[in-house]
Amino acid sequence: MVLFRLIVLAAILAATAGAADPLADMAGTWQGSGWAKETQQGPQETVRCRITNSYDQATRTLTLSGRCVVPGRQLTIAGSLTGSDGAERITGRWSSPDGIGSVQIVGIQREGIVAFNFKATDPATGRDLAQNVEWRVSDGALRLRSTDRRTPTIKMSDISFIR
Amino acid sequence: MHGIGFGAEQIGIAALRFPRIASVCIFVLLVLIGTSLPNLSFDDDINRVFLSDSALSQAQQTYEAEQSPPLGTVLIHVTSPAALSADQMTSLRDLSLELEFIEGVTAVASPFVLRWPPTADAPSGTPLFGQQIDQGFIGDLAAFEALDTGLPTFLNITLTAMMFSVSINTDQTTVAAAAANISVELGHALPAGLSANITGEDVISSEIVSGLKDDLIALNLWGALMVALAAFVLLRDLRMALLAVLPAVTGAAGVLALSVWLGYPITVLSNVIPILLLVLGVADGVHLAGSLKETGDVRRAIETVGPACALTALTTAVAFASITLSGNSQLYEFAVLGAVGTTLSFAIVIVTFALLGRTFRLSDRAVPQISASIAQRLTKIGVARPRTTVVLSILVLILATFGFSQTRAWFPLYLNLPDGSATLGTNDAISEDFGGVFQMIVETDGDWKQTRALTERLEAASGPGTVLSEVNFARWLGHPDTRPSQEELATLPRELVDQIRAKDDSSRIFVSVPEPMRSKDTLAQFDKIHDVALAAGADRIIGLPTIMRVEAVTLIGQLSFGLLVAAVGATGLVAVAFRSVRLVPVLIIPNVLPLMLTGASLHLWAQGQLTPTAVLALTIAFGIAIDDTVHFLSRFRALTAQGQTAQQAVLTAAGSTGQVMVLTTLLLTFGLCVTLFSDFNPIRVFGGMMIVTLWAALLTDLFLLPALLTWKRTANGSV
Repeated sequence: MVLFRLIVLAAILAATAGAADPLADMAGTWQGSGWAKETQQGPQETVRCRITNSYDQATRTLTLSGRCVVPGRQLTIAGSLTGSDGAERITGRWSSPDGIGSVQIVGIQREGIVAFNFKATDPATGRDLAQNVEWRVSDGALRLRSTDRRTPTIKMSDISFIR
Repeated sequence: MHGIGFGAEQIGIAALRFPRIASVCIFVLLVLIGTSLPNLSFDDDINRVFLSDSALSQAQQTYEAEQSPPLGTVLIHVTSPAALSADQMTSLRDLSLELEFIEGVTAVASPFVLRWPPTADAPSGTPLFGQQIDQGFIGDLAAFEALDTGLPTFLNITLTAMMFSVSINTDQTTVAAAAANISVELGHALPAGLSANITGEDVISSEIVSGLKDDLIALNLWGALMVALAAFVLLRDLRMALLAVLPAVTGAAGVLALSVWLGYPITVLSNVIPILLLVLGVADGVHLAGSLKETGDVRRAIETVGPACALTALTTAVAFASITLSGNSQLYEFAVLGAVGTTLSFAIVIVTFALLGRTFRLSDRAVPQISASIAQRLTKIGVARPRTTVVLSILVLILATFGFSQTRAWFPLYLNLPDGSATLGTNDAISEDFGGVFQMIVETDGDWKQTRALTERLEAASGPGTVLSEVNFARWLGHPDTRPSQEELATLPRELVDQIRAKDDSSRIFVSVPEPMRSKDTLAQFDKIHDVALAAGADRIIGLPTIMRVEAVTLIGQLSFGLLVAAVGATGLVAVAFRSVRLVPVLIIPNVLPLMLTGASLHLWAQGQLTPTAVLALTIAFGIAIDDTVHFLSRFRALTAQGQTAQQAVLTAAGSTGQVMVLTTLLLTFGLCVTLFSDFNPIRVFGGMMIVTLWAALLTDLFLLPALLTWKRTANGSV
């Protein structure tokens, strides 16, 4: 379940990835496929995600909703991310009633790559979650990769999205 | 003579006195019926009708009420001509993930949800099927089974069949809609060379109800058309045919509208009510039209035949009302719709007949005399040797009663599936490979030791991989002696945990079983598991198969009791109407004989299975039988009152009323023949039973009843 929450959290962060106007580029429906791990030494598990983003130009806010699944388990997700004019900083919040609850997100965007790190606690197991997340947007595709925050050489997920 | 209808026929007379008011009333009623029929609803929950006030039903309803969100299940049975390959397994894993995204799907159970016991690195367990599935999965499966968790693997022994169990949130969508979407997904994601079929308790219910709905609408329309055509051919008078059929069709439509007004959805039981009232309405219509043709006076026709029509409506209403005595709250709606519907239908028939009879001028062409000739010949045989006829009839009655007593209360759900449905074959295959489509739910409030003992005994009785409980997970966690903690359960899908441990102090054990009454063997298997659960201390045993096994049989018993009360009540009512206690034995034998003959005939076409539909058919059979008897007796009494001897009266009655009885029987047989072309076995059995009843009732009323009426009477026989 921890693994799952990590994937979902990372999926929310996809909203921050961008090129010229990354949040606007994220609008639309995306289907993701790849893998993720629950712990540093854990096995890779097959993951599928489907997310739908809508972008509000006036508030520079991207609203996201969707679902991610591993065999037999699924998590509904929802969130929003807001950029500021002329600044790299992006802030946002993700909520998942059956996941890790509500988490504040803060990140930066630079040349189509969005990088974050975050820390949360799984309410079900009490386990601390801490990861570095990188999102890339190119040619209408998204790619999510995350690593362990303490040992960045350990890959935690790799999910590619297409429209 | 006019007293037997308790004055109800005066409604028709009133319509003749105030034709404008009556016309307006009928017009308004027709408009109301027309606007109400589009709102007719069918109860999609086929199982609801079996629920009563029993402890079992209450436990089932409590379980269903606790489901939050309410869940339905779709089972997908995937088969392969050879053992599944690694590539096929990979495709099927991807399919299982795609299924998760279908609207309303909350969980998909399949082999791909299986995980090795949890470790520090994999707190939720490492998936048995990793990112890359290779041929080594066969060894992994064997190793998993060697853990002896008892968890179902959703793969059969030969690896030629796989099952997916898809949970649907029925607050979000219907099972039928989800099943349709699943079919679409299977259409483009199922690997080549594999085939898949959909089933499940809710899918079966949905398939039966939707098929039945279409079938009933078609059969009612075709049946009414056939009756109208047959009436025209047999009566050789279009206006007389319309007079016989139109009021009845309007009455039956009125009953359908009544179900809308009362807020009662049509169920698999109540759908027979409009058919019954159509049958009785047509019979009344033919009698009334026949009398009109004979006398040329609509008022006289209503005064002569109306009381008998009123009495038959009253006996039918009493028969329906008697069902409320069964104490089954679900049958209450059925009984109310039947009783009120019968009354409404009679009122519509008699008023519509009165209004049409005023305006229609019947032709002078006589009704074909062949029917009168048949009726009189039969009557003559009975009257010539009354003692032999009665003794012979009693012997037949004893034999038929014995045959009927040998029928067995039985509820075969599978027979309610339309012909050619792939579901039955799929269900059998799932029973063979995975225990069964249906879930018996065993609840225990006992401690862990009790839960474990219960699970082990059920596993021994039901077979490997067919039982799911907390005990399986305790074994998987490596501590079968202690109940899994909440933290441990938190690593499992929440929907699963909610099912196996609804409350802190109770556990649920799910046992996959075949349909209980699929065969004698499946029934024996079900009863064995049920008995094992009870012996091992189960507090409650619920689930659809238990409801079908126990409550359906109880329902048949209650309906049979209702039938008995209806028979006694209707007989008593007719005796009261004719003010003759001596009439009771005269009524009992000719009316019970068709009932028993029809019941015994179940051995010929329904393997002796007494289903709820069959009992309803028998109830209707009694209504038809007493209908004929009342018309014959009414005529007989009128003739004896005019001074005819009993022998003269029965022969004259056979020539007039008997003629109409033959015509009605022929007519209704044509109409009911359409049911024999139904895709549904219960409807075919129902129609067949009706036809047998009609002819048995006709024969007894023309052969036995005259014998009883003339036996030991020489002159001025009175009833």
